[in-house]
Amino acid sequence: MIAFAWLIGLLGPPLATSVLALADKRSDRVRSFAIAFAVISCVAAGLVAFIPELSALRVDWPWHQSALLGPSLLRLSVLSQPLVALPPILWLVTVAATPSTRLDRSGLARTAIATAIGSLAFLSQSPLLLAGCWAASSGLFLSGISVCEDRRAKRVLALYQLVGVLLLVVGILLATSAGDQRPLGLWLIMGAALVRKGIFPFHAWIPEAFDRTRIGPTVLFSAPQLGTYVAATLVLPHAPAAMLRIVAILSLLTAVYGAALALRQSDARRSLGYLFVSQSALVLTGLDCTSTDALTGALVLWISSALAFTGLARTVLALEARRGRLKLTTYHGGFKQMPLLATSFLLFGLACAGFPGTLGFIGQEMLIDGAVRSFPALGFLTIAAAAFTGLAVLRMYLSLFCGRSGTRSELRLRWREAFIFGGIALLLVVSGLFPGSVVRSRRQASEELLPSRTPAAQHHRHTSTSPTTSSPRTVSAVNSSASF
Amino acid sequence: MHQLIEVTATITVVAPLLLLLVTGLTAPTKLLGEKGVGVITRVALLAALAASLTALFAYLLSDRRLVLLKLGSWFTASEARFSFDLALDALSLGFAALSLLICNIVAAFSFRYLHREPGFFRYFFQMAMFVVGICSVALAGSVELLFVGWELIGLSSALLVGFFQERPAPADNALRVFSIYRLSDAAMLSAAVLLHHWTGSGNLTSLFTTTEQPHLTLAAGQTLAIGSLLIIAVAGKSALWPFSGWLPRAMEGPTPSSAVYYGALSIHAGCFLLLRVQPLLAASGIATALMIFGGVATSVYGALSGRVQTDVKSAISYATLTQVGIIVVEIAFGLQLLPMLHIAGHACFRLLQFLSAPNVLHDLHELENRLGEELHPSSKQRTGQGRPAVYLFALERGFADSLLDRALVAPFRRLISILDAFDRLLVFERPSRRERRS
Repeated sequence: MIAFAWLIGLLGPPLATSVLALADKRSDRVRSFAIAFAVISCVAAGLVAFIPELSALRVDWPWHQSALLGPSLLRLSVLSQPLVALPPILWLVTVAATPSTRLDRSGLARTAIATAIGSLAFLSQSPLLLAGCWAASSGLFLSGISVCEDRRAKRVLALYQLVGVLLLVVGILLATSAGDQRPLGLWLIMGAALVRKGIFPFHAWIPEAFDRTRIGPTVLFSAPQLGTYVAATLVLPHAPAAMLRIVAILSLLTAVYGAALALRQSDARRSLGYLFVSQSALVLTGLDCTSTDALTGALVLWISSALAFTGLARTVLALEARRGRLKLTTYHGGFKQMPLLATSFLLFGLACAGFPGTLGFIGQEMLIDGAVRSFPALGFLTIAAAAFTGLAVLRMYLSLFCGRSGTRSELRLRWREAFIFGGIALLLVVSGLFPGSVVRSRRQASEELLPSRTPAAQHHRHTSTSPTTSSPRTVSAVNSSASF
Repeated sequence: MHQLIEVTATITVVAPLLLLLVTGLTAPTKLLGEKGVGVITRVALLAALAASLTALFAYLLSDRRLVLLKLGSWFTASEARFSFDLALDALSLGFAALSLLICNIVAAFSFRYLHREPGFFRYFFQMAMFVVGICSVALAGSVELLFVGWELIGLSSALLVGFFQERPAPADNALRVFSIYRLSDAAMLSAAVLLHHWTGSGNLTSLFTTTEQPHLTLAAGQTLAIGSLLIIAVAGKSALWPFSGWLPRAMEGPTPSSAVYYGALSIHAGCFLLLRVQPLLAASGIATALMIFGGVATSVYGALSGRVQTDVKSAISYATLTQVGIIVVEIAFGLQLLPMLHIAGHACFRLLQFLSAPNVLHDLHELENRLGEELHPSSKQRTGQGRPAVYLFALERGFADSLLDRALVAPFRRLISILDAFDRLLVFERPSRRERRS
């Protein structure tokens, strides 16, 4: 009973907000409700950490089970426990920190529905439901950017999303079929995840989306990293070692590629897009390594990068609302008027770069160590990616906040913005200074994920990796919870 | 006695950490006011200094064995473990005490120097970050803690170079300094990961002593790899040649921070680290040769470039570099006491020079007035055969910046431009005429 009340607390507020946004014509009132509802959703998601009964939540399909439907309709796994909090947090940040002129009623409805879809996806391990959430979120993203004038960019983004959805749907159909097409199905699902996450050579749409369309919908769509969740839930338990190695190598290259290109961009939005490409790739790198520590690091980094990156993107949006489009070839000033925003921006960026004292450091420490164990030469690319990211972030910080800015009062932060930016920064620092519970939870998730690989996949892995590079945990047990 | 050493060493680390937390939380809102910041900074730094001196004297009166103090772990995964281990011996406690003494002096100087400066609170927060960093580097017993300290020193240094934020030059130079520091950090992290990977532990104490000799368990190639990475990390942080180009750029920061970073402590942190891992470096002939070459090249470069500097801070910084090069050579020759004494004496002397730099012209004129004659009459020197080339070399600061620009930055830029164009092709974007032309 408590579990169902919690579920309503998590999914009810965004759905109620979307209905309210369609019914009520006063957008300021809808926005106030949206903020209150987002807080309720965040609290509901946060309760999982304190009430163990909630983690036993499971809702079965009313019909006969099949591979396509999955073992259950909704199930809160160890992996998804902290992840269900991401969509409500992003929702709260969006409705509280976006300037009124940039979030109308339809925008409020869209963000609420996107939150409900995101939460639902993280609660599910059913291939069918995940495909549905994936397609729905892609559709919402495309509708969110439809007001933009750049037709070419909209067509390109629609093409990439269409390819992603098609790959996922066909992949799931093949992977859940009884024939010999399962390996191909797994490759196609992984391909869909690579497109959605922006892994080389499918990465170009992300900087394009940040540069040419609206940042808000793009962040809501990208930051929770649904592609990683689908890869971890549907592919990772069954993936052959060769697939994971190829994907890990692609991810390592993308991490450096994205960070290096972020360093040379002259536009803040484009630089932001490449930073996301790099962060997203780092998370996937850990997912495909063979050690528990690398996987734990990647899962910690997933949470850290979602929060930190959202903070970075929202900061750029807050600055753009005051000054218009931001070029990185000049110094804009503003530290004097917005010290909190400047400090928060630097903290978000340092968390992305894995600086000590932030949650990003914890994730990257473990990830780098694990990546070097799994890939003795290429693993060092994670270090290069961290170095480039740090430089790109400091360059952005100096450009956006240093220089002369006068004493314009409109530059000052509103209290809601100050609360949100300060809150995320504090969350990243506190969880970075006291990371025990986060690391424990993610270690449990990684220990559940790694042995869950099917015997065939484990056999592939065992024979293809040397004893010195593979952790004993990778081949220790067979879990019966595999979806297919 | 050991208990006293452990308690006081813990205070040495914890007091600056608390200072960092308090100044960090209050700096954006200026909650404490200048007086409040002054009081807590003085209390924290004096407590840390008193604790470090007590620990040092207690250690000298004890049996003088290296003490590994385990303060607990930050986080633990399956195999990865981040532990707060302190390695306590005369070298580490001595350097920590020296660092805290200098930080106390600079803090006292800074309260007056930066009084009513807009960035007063920011300065003391970044200063606290530096103190935590230098104490971590000095006392680190695990490679992870060493890396944390190393990163904190780098970030605080870059932020202080860009302290005067309204002018573009400090921001440009901060980015330049930070780029070299990132290279140094990446080398340090690579060394840490390799050490962890090959020895199965992040414990540094075995590297610090000649008795346990863990480097003998490493193959020659492994010792060389770790040693070379550590030398690159030190070269970046201590401005050894060819990474010396950032040093005059770093003078954009406030004078007290220049004194503590580029005269006294930060620039010597690399030397201290080399001294610490001397047993490992001595096991590799190539690493030793690299150190000697780097030290000699830096000394000659610093001596030549320092001769032609036109501002006092740059002249002092190059003079510092000359001595740093000599210290590196001393360490490469296997000396231990001499380099440590050299570091301590030189750090104190340069601190005095940097802090009195803003008054140097005033002091000179006063001296000349009292003597009644000019102390340094301007004189035209003849340039002999070959001297213009040396002069040009010194004036251009050994072409260190242009060398790095041509060897690293320009190819990197070209590569990124190509990749950027490739990315635009992937989204069917046609380059504009202007872009095609460029």
